[in-house]
Amino acid sequence: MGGDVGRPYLVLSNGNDRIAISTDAVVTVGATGGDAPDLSEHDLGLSFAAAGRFRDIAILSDTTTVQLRVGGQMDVETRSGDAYLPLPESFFGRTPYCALLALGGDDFALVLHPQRLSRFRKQLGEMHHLSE
Amino acid sequence: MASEEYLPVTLDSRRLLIESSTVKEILGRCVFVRVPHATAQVPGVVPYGGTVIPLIDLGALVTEDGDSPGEVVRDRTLVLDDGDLVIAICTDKVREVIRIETNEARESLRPIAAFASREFELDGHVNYVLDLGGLIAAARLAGDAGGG
Repeated sequence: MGGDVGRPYLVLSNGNDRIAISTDAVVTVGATGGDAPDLSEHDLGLSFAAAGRFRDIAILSDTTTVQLRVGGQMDVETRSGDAYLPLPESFFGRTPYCALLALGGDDFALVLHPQRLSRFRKQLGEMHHLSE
Repeated sequence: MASEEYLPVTLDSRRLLIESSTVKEILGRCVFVRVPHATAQVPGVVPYGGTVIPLIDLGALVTEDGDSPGEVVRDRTLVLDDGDLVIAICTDKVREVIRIETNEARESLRPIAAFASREFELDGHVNYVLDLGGLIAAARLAGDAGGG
């Protein structure tokens, strides 16, 4: 899941925020991921829900597949970035994001890192379990 | 007599002095990319020179509860280099560099002390000298304790 410039990313936009997922990690777009658990707004820290029909994006998160439900009106496109800018690990290592993908001008997408996403979801689950 | 140069800045009602040797650049309005699930103390990054640098929210670090006083738009972005790491902080106003005799300083005993080892009284106001190393260490510590 490296960060080569020119590598294609699936870029999702909700009008304010963007996330980018390496196409290497995307299993399917537009079809359900079967029984894969849903990624929540809480996992991402962002909302991509909207009124209307949903599209499901199945993502390989480490060794398991999860699915992200994206509102039908949300912007989903495959793009390559102008630059891949890693986030400083010592400050953002616990987040599911690993870099910014420069998309031209002042536009950037947060690169979702599959292994980090998996770790983050696991930590959330443990915290939830402890709070019960 | 020894003297040092400082960049005076204001943040809300606080007056801070930043060692001028650590200031790489003064940019305009603070524009940053928020990183979800990051801490209030380091809420995002600033694209800078073909890379990204962490934005440390001084407002969040100097409040006792660690929360930033809301989504405040700051007029100036300072790029600071402590020798090991380049970071950005946002401030309200930046004034011209001043030179101060170091023997005028006194130990800071205020709540901001974790990020200011010394203070000067200038024009009847207390000015805290920003401890950049301490600031970065505190921001990292906050990330270790509450990130994710």
